[in-house]
Amino acid sequence: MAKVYLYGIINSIEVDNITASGVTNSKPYFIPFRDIGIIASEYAGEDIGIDYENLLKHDEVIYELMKKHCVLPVAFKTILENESDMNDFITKNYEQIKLNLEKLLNKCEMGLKVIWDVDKAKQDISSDNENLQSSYFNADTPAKKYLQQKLIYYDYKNKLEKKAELIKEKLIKELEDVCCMNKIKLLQSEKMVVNGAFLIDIAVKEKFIDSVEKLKENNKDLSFLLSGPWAPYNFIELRRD
Amino acid sequence: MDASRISVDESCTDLFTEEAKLEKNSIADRINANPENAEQGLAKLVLTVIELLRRLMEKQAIRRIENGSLTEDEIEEMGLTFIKLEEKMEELKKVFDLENEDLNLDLGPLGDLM
Repeated sequence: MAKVYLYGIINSIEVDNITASGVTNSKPYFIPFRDIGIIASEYAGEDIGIDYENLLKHDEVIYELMKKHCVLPVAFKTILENESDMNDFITKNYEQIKLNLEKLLNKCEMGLKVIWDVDKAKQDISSDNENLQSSYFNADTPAKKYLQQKLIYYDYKNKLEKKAELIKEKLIKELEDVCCMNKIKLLQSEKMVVNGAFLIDIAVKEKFIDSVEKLKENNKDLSFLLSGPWAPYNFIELRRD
Repeated sequence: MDASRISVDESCTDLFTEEAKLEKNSIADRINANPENAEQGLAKLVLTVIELLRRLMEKQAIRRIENGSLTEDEIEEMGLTFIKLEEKMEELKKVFDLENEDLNLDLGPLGDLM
């Protein structure tokens, strides 16, 4: 029996023909289950490279469904042994899937990445750190010098995180009226100070975009990348009992 | 993909492209496990846990230094211990061909371990 590649679960037992080609060489198809539907395709074991091309092919299927349905997207490259395993998974998690579909009805996810001038942030911090070198103890041995470097490092890191936190607060303040929930990662890299996912009502998408434009206007020292609408990848909560 | 789903000022495109490449690498690292590299996968997991403990101990030591609760001798001893621990970690990373960036775990909704 063929393995099954999963794309997502929708809140309907009726779906139009799916035109997106999908990740595998097999066309995505629809499987009704009670009052919900599963989108999957047969998987013959072909190599699925972890690259943007394939990630986007996965998302294209979900995006097509999003236009008419509430979609719980499944992570890229989720493959089950067979349809029977898929049925077990859906049966076991049916109640939670339903709760998520209700919670995420008419909602979508927007992504907002922010890059800051990390060199300037470092410069602001480094002047304070010079004073720290002479505090706490006399670094007169290699072991103490090592710990002193660690002290400087953690102090620097804390200050950088505090600066990042201020930017996060600024963002949340501007966007809180137009989003329901957010998941924000700070300093995913030194340059990327904020990598945020925002759950919004589809109806306020334009307002959300306007608010981001306002943020751009008022924070010329930051660079913004706005993306979406996406299916709410970051806001699904499935407990594993 | 529908191009209208991405909005970025032209002047910042290079910045984000560079960051996207870093993200892409981290995706590959996270998922690309197979029988051939299972040993390295296990080493990665174990070393990540050790690195987490090492950092926790280090932070605790820093807190105690900042609070002034350690004598000069205790600071010396701790410094030596951490140097040795770091050296040992470097050795193990070399053995299993791992970089600092490899020593992390994606905990899903909880975010990254470190």
